[in-house]
Amino acid sequence: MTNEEAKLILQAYSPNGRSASDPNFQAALNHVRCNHQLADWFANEQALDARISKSLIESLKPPPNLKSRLLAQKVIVRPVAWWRKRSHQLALAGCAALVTIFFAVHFGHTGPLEFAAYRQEMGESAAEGIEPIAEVPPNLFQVRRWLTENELDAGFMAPRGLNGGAISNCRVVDWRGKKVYIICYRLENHETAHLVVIDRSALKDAPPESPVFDQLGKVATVSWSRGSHTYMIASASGVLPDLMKLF
Amino acid sequence: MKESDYEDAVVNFYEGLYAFGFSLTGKEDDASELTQETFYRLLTRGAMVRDVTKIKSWLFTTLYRIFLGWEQRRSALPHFEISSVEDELSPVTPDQMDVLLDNAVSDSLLELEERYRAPLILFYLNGHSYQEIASILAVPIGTVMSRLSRAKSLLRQRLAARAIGTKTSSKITHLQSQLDSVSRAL
Repeated sequence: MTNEEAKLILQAYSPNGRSASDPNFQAALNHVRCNHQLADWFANEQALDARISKSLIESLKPPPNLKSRLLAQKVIVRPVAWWRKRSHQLALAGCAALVTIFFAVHFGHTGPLEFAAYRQEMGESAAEGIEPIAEVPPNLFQVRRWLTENELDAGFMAPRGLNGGAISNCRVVDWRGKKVYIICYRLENHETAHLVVIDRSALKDAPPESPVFDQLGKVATVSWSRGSHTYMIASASGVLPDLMKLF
Repeated sequence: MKESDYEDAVVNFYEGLYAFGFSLTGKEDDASELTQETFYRLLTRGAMVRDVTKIKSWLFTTLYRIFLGWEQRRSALPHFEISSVEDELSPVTPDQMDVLLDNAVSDSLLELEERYRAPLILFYLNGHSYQEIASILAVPIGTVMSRLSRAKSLLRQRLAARAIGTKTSSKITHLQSQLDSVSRAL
């Protein structure tokens, strides 16, 4: 075994001493015992590893409430959710049917719809407020869980620029018989951006994969399609350059 | 899985999982969400873990897979890549470590590419053996060995750069205060 081979192996020697009983390190450790220079290198390596390990433990502490949230999760997950209860399901189904009938009568559409109409109506509605068919807790994890439990597609993804933003509100709304998710983010500049997600197949001329920016009166929008979803970000107080920064 | 097993898993592993999640994403919110989703999967799919001694490995593997799923979806969206430049410096020494704050180590770690960050945090923070790291990251043992070696070298170069910066900055502050004293005396 050469010194370089011994170094490569011993760099994987655990800083907490767990590797001492691992037979794969024995040959390298024996090599170190016969070579003072290598022994110094290994002692220095161990000292540095211990310091780095200690520093990382000190600096990567989880937020104080995470443990209690995780322990509370078992209580949240186990009981039957209210929307799963039969009485509530019937009531919800009745409400959904009424909303669907209203939209069907009002707009008279059933197949894929035009994107321009979607952008105009949902852009304004998202920014000004729209009656939801469901309010979802303002937390991306719970949004995805809610969608999955209600057999809706939870595989959407916000652009990087929104990832750090705090979610202030989440809604599922009905637009001409299609389910649309609206997730409202509070941006660093204290403005609000509404991420609006719809199934791509719901629109007959969905926007392309590269973002399309538009100013519709007071509402700035950016739209794009990816995978099975079509996305739009609408901001009533925002301007196009602000939205461009999100990508 | 029993409720007590779940509670034990939270108490024993949530800090390590959070740190692993943070090292992968670099964001507190994302790390918390990754940890939360990992434990949610333990609750909903925990029956798959028949041997409770394997929970630790299962949790870290699950968190990493969730992260990879996020990355796959994110990479489908347009975003700007920020290129990084490797510093050509001598590795850090124990003396230099004394002048560094704990945050400097985690900040330096976050500057590394994900393929180096992930094995390093499992190695330093969670006491995983190289065999366990290979299993969690689904890479061969030889790859783990070489990535650990390269990752340590890169981390120490960055730490050395920060240590030199800190020393220089404290020397400048000292000189500035001496100059102020001289100015006042004049």
